[in-house]
Amino acid sequence: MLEVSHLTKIYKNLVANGDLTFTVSPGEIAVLLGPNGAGKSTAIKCISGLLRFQGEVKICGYSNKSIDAKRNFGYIPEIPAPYENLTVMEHLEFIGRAYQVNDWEEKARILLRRFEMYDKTDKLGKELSKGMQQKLSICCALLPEPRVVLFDEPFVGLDPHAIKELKTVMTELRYDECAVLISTHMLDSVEEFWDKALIMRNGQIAAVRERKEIEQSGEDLEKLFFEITEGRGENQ
Amino acid sequence: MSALCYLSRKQIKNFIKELVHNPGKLVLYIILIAGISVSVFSRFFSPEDEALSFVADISFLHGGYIGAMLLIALPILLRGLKSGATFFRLSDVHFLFIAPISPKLILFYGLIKQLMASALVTLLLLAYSSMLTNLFGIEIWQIIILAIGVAIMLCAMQALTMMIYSLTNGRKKLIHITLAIVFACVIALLAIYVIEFFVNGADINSAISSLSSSYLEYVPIIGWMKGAVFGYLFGSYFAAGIYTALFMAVIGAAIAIFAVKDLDFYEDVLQSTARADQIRKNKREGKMDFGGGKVRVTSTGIKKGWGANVLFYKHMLEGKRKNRFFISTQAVFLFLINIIFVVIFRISSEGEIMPDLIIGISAMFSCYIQFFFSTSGDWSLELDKTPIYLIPANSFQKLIWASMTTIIRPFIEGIIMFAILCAILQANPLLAFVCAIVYGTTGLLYTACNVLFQKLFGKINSNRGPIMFIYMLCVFLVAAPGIISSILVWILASGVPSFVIGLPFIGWTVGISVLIICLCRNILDNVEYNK
Repeated sequence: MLEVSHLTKIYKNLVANGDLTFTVSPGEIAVLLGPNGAGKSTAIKCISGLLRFQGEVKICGYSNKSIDAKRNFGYIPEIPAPYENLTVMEHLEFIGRAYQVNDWEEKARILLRRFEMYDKTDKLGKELSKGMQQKLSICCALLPEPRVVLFDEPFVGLDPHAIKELKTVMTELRYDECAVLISTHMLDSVEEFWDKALIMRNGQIAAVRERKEIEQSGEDLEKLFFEITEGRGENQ
Repeated sequence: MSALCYLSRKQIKNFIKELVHNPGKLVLYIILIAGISVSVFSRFFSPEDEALSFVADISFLHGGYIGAMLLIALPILLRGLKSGATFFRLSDVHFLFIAPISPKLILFYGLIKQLMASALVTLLLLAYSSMLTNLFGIEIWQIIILAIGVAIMLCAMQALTMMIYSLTNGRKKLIHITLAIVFACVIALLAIYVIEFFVNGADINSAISSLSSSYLEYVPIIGWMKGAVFGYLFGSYFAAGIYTALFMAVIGAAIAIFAVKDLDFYEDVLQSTARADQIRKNKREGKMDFGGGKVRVTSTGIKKGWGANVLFYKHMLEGKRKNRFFISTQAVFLFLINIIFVVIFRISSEGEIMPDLIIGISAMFSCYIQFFFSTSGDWSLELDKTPIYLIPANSFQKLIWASMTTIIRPFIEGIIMFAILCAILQANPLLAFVCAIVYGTTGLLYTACNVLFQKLFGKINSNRGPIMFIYMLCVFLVAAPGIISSILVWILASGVPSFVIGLPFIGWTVGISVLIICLCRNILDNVEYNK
């Protein structure tokens, strides 16, 4: 379970995130929607403990900076940055050993096959295309079998097969009772499987909708998204 | 043309505006300029006899300058002829190359911009002007001429290489001919020096005096530029004029041929611009992968480590791939410089200067140089990646294991380097060992200061001049008590074995470094990932 309470991130005079409060329950896929510069990536980075912030973030009941929390979440950054001089398999070995994953080798092979990277195990990080780097980043994040997974613009740079596979993985994570948070500005890419939509504008959550709610009311999420991001919509 | 003028004007204006809006940055630049000014004008504030008290043979300046010219020209030419050179940025490629502007104008714009950039880079050389003044007794205006020569050479080589690459249009035969000419020039340079050495008596005096041989100035480009600069420096205006004319003729001819033939250089610079941009980005981020050599993967697998210590084994594996041996490329260069320095010092002093003193000077010099590559250690590079922040382990454990190779490496390098120097000089082995430990503990101090600076101000990298300058000052302040106590031992305790002098410094650096690292133990919980 992911609990975010009053998360605020301020850069000098700019409020990148203002008082964000939301939860993502086990077995739920939440999407942070918003245009470029809305503060989605900053929020994800704060949640994963890469940036300092005011407020509180709890992962599986632990403060996000604690070792117990780190053991329970996986983070896929927007821009993959593999180690230039490590091979694909060594990246997974590194994560497996660092996270103390007992059967890391077997799990790594399954993930690599799944993302069609099994023939690239001996390729160095710097030899991979951006899409391949992104796939490697996803494999690394999923290897320790996290209970909370944070995806920052995960579909950018992926080929159609990888997008399809990633969507399947996301729904499987939901089935396995993981809490999944995805930041994206591409509404279409998450249309089929989102459970909760958090629409962001100017660093704040302007509206929250659950799929059931939308299905019952017949509201159009895309229309709502444009109303909000174009400055005509509601605040929560 | 107006578009290019507008672009240049705006870029300068925005740079100034950015400085005004960032007072911190402005202050850093002011401090940097003040530092350079103090170095340039310090001569005026010191008594004349004191300033001129240590005048070295001017031949060393001749030799050093021609060596610098060679070091500037050769890598640019070799790299450029292989895969193209560029002085454009990726933004120029994306915006200007597709704009309805004459390619010749764009080329001219690039040349001017490069010349300005080269001039700014060489301004930093002026920081060493007081050293040159004291060492060779030369005036400020002479140092400025030396710096201008370097700037012109830097710019001219890039322009020349780019044009040769375009003119040869990738034809291997022509490139091989050009490379043969380049190597012929280098061989000519060495041959002239060797001949002069034997003609003048083949002793230490001829080894030094041959560095200033006027025949060396006959070698195209490198020799001509050196001849021109030293001609202006020491009043040989006729020779200076001829060498300037020759130099300008070659560069001018290349530009003229380029312009007349109306060559399409866009394609030639495209790949090299993208590569140069990546290298610049890597430098900015403090990465050591400057697009250089291929990494050979022989065996794979980290194989060891569980939890935070896997960071150490990963660094060991990466280090093996980058340098094959544990020692860094920079350290190998430092070894070579030290060996050359020690051999020259030994021979030129004819046994008058004690080996212990030479090895001591070498240790101080090495510790100073080590500073410049201490900001790109494994620890520092690790902060560019997210795993170190995310691995579920204690921050202190991660800090220790991630900085372990950065701490160990200088000790190993120091032991190898000073063992070699000890053998060459037949110095006291105990002193050599202490020098190695001084070198190692200085590395430890640099790592500790790096950790402290990262905690206080975020990432430092060697490409941010002003911050680097402040960082250097801070490191010096932290090291100062150790340096002072060693100097006091040297002055006050006469008769003690020379290796004892290093011990207070070792004690201080180890103590303060351990203290700093312990105080920064929570750094990974507090520092921000700022990529």
